[in-house]
Amino acid sequence: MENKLAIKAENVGKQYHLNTRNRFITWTNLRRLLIPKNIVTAWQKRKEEADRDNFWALRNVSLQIDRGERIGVVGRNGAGKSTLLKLLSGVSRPTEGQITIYGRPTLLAAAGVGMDASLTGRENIFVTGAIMGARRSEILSKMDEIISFAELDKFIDVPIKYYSTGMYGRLAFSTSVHLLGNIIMLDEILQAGDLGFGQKCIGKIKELVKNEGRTVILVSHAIDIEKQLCQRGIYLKDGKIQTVGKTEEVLEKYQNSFTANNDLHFSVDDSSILEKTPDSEEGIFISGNSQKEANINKVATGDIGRKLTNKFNYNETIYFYIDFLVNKMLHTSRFKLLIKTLDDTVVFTSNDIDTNQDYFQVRTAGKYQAIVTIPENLLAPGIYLAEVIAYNYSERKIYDQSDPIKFIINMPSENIGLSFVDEQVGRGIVQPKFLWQIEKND
Amino acid sequence: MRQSDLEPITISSKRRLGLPNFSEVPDLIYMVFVLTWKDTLIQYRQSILGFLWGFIKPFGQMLAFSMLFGLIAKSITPNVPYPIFVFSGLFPWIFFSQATTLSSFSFINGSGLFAKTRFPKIILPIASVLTAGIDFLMQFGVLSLMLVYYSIKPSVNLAYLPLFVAPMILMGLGIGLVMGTLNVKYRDIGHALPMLLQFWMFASPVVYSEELIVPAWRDLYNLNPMTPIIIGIRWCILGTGTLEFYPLLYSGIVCVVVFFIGLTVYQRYNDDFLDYLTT
Repeated sequence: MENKLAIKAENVGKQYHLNTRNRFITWTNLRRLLIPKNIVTAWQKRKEEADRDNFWALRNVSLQIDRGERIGVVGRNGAGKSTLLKLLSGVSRPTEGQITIYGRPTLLAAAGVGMDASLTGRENIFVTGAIMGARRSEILSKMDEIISFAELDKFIDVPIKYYSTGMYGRLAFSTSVHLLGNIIMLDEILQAGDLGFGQKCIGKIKELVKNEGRTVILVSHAIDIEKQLCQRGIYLKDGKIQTVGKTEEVLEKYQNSFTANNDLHFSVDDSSILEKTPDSEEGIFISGNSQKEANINKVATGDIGRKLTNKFNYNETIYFYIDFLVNKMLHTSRFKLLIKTLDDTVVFTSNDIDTNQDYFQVRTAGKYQAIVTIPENLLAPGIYLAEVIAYNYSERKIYDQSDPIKFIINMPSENIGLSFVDEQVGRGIVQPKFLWQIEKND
Repeated sequence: MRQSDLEPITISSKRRLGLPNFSEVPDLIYMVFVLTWKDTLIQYRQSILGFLWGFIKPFGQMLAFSMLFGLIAKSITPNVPYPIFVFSGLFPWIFFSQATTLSSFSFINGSGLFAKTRFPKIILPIASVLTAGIDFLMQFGVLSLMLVYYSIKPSVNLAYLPLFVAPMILMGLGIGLVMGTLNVKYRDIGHALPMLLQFWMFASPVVYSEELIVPAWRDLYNLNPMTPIIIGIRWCILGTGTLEFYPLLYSGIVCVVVFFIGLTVYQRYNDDFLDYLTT
């Protein structure tokens, strides 16, 4: 059968059920049922509740992907990118429509998924390889290549529970990429490991596409990676395909969605904002509760008096207000604040244990608010994005991630404006003030 | 390139009734082998006695039952010492219960793999049954030591053993597929299963002789499909007891039916597993 197609998706949709709590036998549910007339209303309510809790992560998606194509998927958090990959790789069944896959897809999502902690690296390669349909001879012949690509020569016979996150990621990527899967899907995986390894992965993927004609579908927040790798882009918004086309055009549209509406300014107190803006806006991120262990409800910037604003002067202190909900007792949960420039360069990140070195952090269920102070005279004037990631340090698992919010550092009135030298050599993203001691030496 | 790479996979939103695709089977043998090896490896890793536990655990259970029932039941197993009587029923039962339990949890435990690539998930419960099978084979070692100790000659009926083990495998896998599928969505199974298996064991002639059951209740007692199988296995090893044709036929049919029910349930719902397993 001569067929150029790799994947065909026909009018595909995926519905998830958010809240399954009311199905359990709980005291509240039992009490509700004790009164006979409630049984009828409870039954009707069930349907209502089910309708409310069902949501479409993806809908009306029709796509044709040819063999050897490299496709980049962009969109904000919750736009349905990961769901799309799960459907296209065939690991999840669509609620609507039909998907046909010509070939063997491999989905690489969070590092370390599907690996057994008590097995060694080598043993895990055998298991992953076998699951991906490789034969024993195939695995044996690629073994050395996998190990050396993952840079794990010394540690390959050590149980992977002793591995670092970077080592996990390298092993997972290397195994998957070397052992078949003629359709490779990568979900935020290229950020695993250090910068050097990321570049190596990109190189490897390029090589695979070129030499073996494998199909690659990539989800990444790193715009430059998508630019480097992909020919075609898909921009997802709220579970629907917004744009499909050449990568540059799609990425431009996506980036415009951030830079439009520059003059956002809040001067209301935060409780009224919570009610007024249900969706995430440019300068503030607001999200409802979910079943996740930890849920980031709000990320906003403001001044010391909790007045929310996303415009600051260079010599003003910036306060990040992060509201989060913990749904069950968590050990070693961490919160990370990530500051990026508009072209996705990370300026710095900060962890909740930076100044409070409680590594075995225990958090009980409840609502929390974190306030992160970014000192004045640090970020150079410009536009920045901030993201908050809630994760578990020891389980290597991301609980929740906010959409990027935008904030602006204005040029101060005092004399740090661009000099002609700055124009030539650049000024840098951070512009802290350091101590200079100059003495005359004669 | 293997056969299954060439054929397009279609995943539709509609759940259909049907059986798994048997043409994939040759491709799956190595997968099953690796998973069985992995499960066996994990089972005894990080323990000093390692695989010796495979011998010690059933032996310990045998001792416990001998202490409890040995004195009472002595009169009803006149031909063989109670310890060897109980062991010959206990070790096949342990195999059955291990195979059922492990396969009922195999989808939950293997969930990490589902997110990686599309593969026939049925290999997980199959590997579970084989893992239990390895223990079963090891226990033959314990059995032969016991036979030597009591200087009992194994029966010539031993050649028929596979005929009785096969339906047990089908039964274990069938229940494992149904329970494993349910377990993905309703974790109640994990709580209920050990209890049910315990009841089932006492409803089968594992630690006592079927002759204890009064004739009036025998027909009802034989409704339990495991009864003829355990009697049969004991007959193979020790040559005791009498085989009856119709209970055996009935038992075999039930096992095959349960197996096919398991396959159908699995086939209908296996594409939905990931929705309930990853957070």
